[in-house]
Amino acid sequence: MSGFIKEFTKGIVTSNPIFVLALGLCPALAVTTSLENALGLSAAVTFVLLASSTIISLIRNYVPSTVRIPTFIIIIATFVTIANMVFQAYVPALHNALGIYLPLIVAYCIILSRAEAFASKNTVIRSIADALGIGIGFTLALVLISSIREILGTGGISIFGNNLFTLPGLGDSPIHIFILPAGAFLVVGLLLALFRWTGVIKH
Amino acid sequence: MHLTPAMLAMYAKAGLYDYCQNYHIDYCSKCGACVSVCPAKIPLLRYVNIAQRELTREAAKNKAPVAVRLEKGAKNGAKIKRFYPIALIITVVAIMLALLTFTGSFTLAEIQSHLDRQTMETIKEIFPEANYYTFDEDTEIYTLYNNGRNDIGYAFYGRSFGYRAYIYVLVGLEDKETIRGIVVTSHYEDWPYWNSLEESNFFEQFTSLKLEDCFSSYSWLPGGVDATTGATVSCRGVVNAVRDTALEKVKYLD
Repeated sequence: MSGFIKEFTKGIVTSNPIFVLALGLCPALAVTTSLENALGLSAAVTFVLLASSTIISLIRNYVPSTVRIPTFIIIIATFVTIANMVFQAYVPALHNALGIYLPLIVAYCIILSRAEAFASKNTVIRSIADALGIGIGFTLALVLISSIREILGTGGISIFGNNLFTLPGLGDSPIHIFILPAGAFLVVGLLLALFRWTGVIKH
Repeated sequence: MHLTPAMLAMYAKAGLYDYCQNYHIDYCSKCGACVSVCPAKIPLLRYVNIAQRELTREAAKNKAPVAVRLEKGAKNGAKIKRFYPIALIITVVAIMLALLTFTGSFTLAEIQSHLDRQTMETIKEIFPEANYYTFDEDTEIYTLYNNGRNDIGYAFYGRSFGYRAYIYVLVGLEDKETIRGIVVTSHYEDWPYWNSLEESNFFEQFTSLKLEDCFSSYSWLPGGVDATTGATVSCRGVVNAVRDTALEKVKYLD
């Protein structure tokens, strides 16, 4: 049980995929224009991570190393297709907003690298814990970035069509650069600097 | 690094190689510094070598994949070793296809209904009174009906090259000779030119246009569809998309 907890918390702070491992920066910059998109994508990524890590850890002793990578890619692609179909059927608006970044989960380094480096060498329980930890770390990082970008860039936050709140000053004249890609880089870089400076992330 | 050569040698001598792991035998780089300072002249390096060799052998034995174990045990080991990866991949693909089919069984219907709803909305832009449509798979023509199940018109998709790429148009026909209207469903034209096109009266010209009149107008011919200044290539693309497809589909209408 302590092993489970340790692998789980490792993915949230000490091995945070965005701020420490620096994997998955492409979706972090592209879909964090609004909180809703960020939550949708991180839900899909967590599902794919969990499912693929479990299956890969289950069959890790039966896969010869010559066909290791194609097998992993088949498994990951299947779960990404399942996530894509479910999104397209039940939340079509979110699916259109995410666009290409939902099927692109297949190519995210974070999933293949966790499968290769961890799931293929550890037990099922530990792999599930690691996948959950990395997924939640990814979610928290994306939620943080997208909240900042949406509040500063549009003046408020709206989820699924409901406007949660609008700041009075920013709502009239938002700082437009935070919605553009340049603003994404600024936010991620400044957050990383803040975490390093306060010591949350150690070198 | 927490290396303690004395303890490593003690456990290696006793044959308890697992205990050597507690004293971090993996970090030993076998430099021999401990041997040269040992006052009792114990051959520490030799013990470390033995322990590391035994640990490696045990680890390899436990972690060998099924393929290697099969090879060691089976009589025709070469044949199994060659076919095992293929058999594994086929099994994995079969299981994943089963998962996908299961998911598709409850999602594909929903996805299709979303696409049908989008098509209905596009058709309603041309025929506001339309309520229901049927799609002929061979001719790819939508036949449109209103509430009273009366046949009120036809629609079909057409495309032709504009300035950058294909321009896709949904053409609505009242009958065999008259165009009811058009909707451009997708294009890749440059924004300023397309904007000037939308702000001009270009698309209104297609309302109640006779099919024989649907061509890019030239100064020496009467009639035709006038293009908008600055976006003539895009205009010609739209007109060609409408005319070429309409002339082809009208042959299938009774």
